[in-house]
Amino acid sequence: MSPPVSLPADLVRALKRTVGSYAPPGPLRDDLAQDVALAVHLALPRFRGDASLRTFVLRIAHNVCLRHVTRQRARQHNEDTDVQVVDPRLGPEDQAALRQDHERLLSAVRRLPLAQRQVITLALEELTGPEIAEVLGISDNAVHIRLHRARVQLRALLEAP
Amino acid sequence: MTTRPPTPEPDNFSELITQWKEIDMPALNLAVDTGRKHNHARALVWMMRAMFAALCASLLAETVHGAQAGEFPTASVGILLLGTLGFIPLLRWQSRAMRRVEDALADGRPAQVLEARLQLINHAVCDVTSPVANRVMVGSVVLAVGWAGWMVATGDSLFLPALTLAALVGVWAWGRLVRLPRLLQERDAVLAIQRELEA
Repeated sequence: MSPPVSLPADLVRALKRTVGSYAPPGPLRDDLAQDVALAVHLALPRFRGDASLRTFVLRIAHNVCLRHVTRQRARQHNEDTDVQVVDPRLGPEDQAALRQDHERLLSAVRRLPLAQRQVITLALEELTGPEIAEVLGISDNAVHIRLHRARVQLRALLEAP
Repeated sequence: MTTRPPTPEPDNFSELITQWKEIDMPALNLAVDTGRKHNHARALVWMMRAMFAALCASLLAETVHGAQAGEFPTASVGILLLGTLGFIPLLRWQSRAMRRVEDALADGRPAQVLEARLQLINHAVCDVTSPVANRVMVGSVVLAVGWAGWMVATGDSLFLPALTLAALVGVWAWGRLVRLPRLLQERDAVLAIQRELEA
């Protein structure tokens, strides 16, 4: 096991939240986290400073997560079928937390269409419109439209019983 | 026991951001475990190369042995050449493709990464289904069968031709029955995601 990726702690937490917005708790989330960590680890030496470290790393994370979604769909496991699997390795406190609001929010984000999910996840990480556009390679206008739709859908999902 | 505040209205986005930022997943390990898939993929490529090298060495030894006995081992040379033509470009292409995707992942736009993956899948599909690949495979099998017949006629061991024939049939069956359906499923998934992201 090599040492952890040398990233700021807040960026590591952002990466974990990004992973959580694509995969429900369980082994798939663990696998995805490893894939993201490995991709970031391999890409960091190539970071040229053209963009901020945060947008660079989050773009890689979203790219890896898209690959995860592709493979899941190819295996005909719909990632939107959000089974709440509690990881048996977690402690009681973590297991309880999984069932509470945080996982509910993550679950609602995971149910959004892919394009909206990416935009809302980055917006929740407090990236600006141009930063989101840079990460996703889309126009500012597209970010604005997708974010508006995502907020409406997210509200509907969180209000649903 | 403390009770958590209810989930805020998404319209109050700053509260949602606050709740989002509170999310922490201590159980999720982001320490890079380089002994996992990355090394596994490379190990697989090196294992294939080693197997190919062993096959080449074996056939070469057979060829030299035949030449020393005053015979011209046409089948051995033919299979060696066809195997070289068929396998080396494939393995070299796989290595290049892996590097290309890794590079694209570093700073590529998601659309570029998806397109690169689609090209990768299309090339892999062509490797399995192309007429050239099929002719090479059929030619290799015919030569191997001929080699086996020759060995039977001369009363020699059938071990090497049988091994070669089994390997060729195994590679063909794996490509057609296992790899091709997976590639097509993955291509459909990439195309669906491309459409979804462009919508």
